[in-house]
Amino acid sequence: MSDNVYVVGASMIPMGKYPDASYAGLATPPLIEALAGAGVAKEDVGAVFCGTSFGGMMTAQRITKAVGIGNVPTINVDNACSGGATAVHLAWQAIAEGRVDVAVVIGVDKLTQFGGGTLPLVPEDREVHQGVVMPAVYAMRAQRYLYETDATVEDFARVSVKSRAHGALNPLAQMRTPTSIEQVLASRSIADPFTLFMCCPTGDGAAVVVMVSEAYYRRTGGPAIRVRASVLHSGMVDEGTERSLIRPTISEHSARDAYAMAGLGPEDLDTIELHDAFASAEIMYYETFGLAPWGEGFRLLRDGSTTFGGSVVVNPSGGLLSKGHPVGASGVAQVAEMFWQLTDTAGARQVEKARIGMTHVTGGGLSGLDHGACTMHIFEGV
Amino acid sequence: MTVLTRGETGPAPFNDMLSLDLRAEGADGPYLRGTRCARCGQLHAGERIVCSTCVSTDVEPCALASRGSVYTYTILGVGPTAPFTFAYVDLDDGVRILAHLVTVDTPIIGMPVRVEFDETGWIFTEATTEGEHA
Repeated sequence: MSDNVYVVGASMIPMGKYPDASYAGLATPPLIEALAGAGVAKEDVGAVFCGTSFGGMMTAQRITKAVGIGNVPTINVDNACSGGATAVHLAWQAIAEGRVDVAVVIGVDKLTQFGGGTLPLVPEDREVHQGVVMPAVYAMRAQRYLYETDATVEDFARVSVKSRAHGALNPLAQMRTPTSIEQVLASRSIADPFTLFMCCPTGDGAAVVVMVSEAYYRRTGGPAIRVRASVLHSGMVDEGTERSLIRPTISEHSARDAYAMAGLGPEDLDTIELHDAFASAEIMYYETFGLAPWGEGFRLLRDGSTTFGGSVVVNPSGGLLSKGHPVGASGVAQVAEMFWQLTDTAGARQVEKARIGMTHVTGGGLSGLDHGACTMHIFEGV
Repeated sequence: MTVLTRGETGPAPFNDMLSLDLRAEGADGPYLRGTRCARCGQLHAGERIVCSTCVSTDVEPCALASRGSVYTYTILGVGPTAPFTFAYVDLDDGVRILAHLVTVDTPIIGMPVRVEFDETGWIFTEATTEGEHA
């Protein structure tokens, strides 16, 4: 198992609030466009993988029947926020193992069905039973980060400012108005040290990518990116006092494996789409991915290393902070962004000469785990 | 009692939903229920039927330390109970536990705290006097 796998088509709807669209209504338009863009006939599709957390039964089949895709293995995947990227990983696996030549990956979720508020979690979990919500989980990590490092709350605001500057260039993002450190800090408090602008908006979204084998790609050609690494990890329980909540171990281990699989290191990356559900997380992931020493990640924001013109452009799409975070859709949307970035079709937000890009999305808030899931990919433009 | 039980046809379910409330009262005052692994000694919060470290089912209920210190915290400003302070408390016996923190002033990382029961369930509050009990 090591055959090359390519992404040859991508599409997504602008993330937003679409209460009048069903899951099929959200995902069918990008499915049509991704297939057409890739030049792939529906008869060629050998498998479908769909990441969703709140779609209910048969989400994928409700979508694919609209275009008459059937009679193929079709798998609905839940891994919380990492579900979409997990579906990408499964498609990569199916193709790399030679079981199919063409796989369609759908990521979709509709959070407007809950009428607002924080992401619903599973109340069977002890900490969720106690009333914890994702902003509180991340805010506690952020508070500890401020305690242990020289970072300030303004550094968290800088993440939001950068995100909005990028989002302003992306017609697919929800938050497209640039903001300032002062405005971020003046927005209402959610869970200290977080203000509203340091938290990703919810919303609805759907993204689709088409992935193919080396043999299929050779026959068809066209714009493509090659999968250099595809890694999926689950969280390891640790409820002891030795564990550092500002060193996200599941992401650390996933990054180590992704770099090893790709034969690349952090210095090789031109762009990254990472899981910035809350502003502080982005800074900790700089450290986790080896872009900065532990406790020093905030310096990359102060010196502009991670925006356009810097050494590695992080979240050129605006990330979750500007796009919003419709759980299952986000991981596929990140891969779609890499397809555009690495095929030089990202428009106003194009990272100059981008050749190597990495995606990262974790999933889940469960007591005793850093996160329940982490999926990472490294891609190369071809 | 948290033991792995077997019915006539195989393992019986663990009715863990009945033990989400960790409160218990001992001779030394209120405490939170935990589980100690008889094989490896690992402590766990709450009732368990198996040790997640060594996978032994030889585990026994125990009292968690009623004192600890604040590892980190946040004041949640949204939701039905806002404002509401959550903290991760590092108990003196090495278990980290999510807690509802009730303090007079803004919490401080590292501040000593102890468990108390109130009408909402269990909370952690400032431990001012050494050896004090609730």
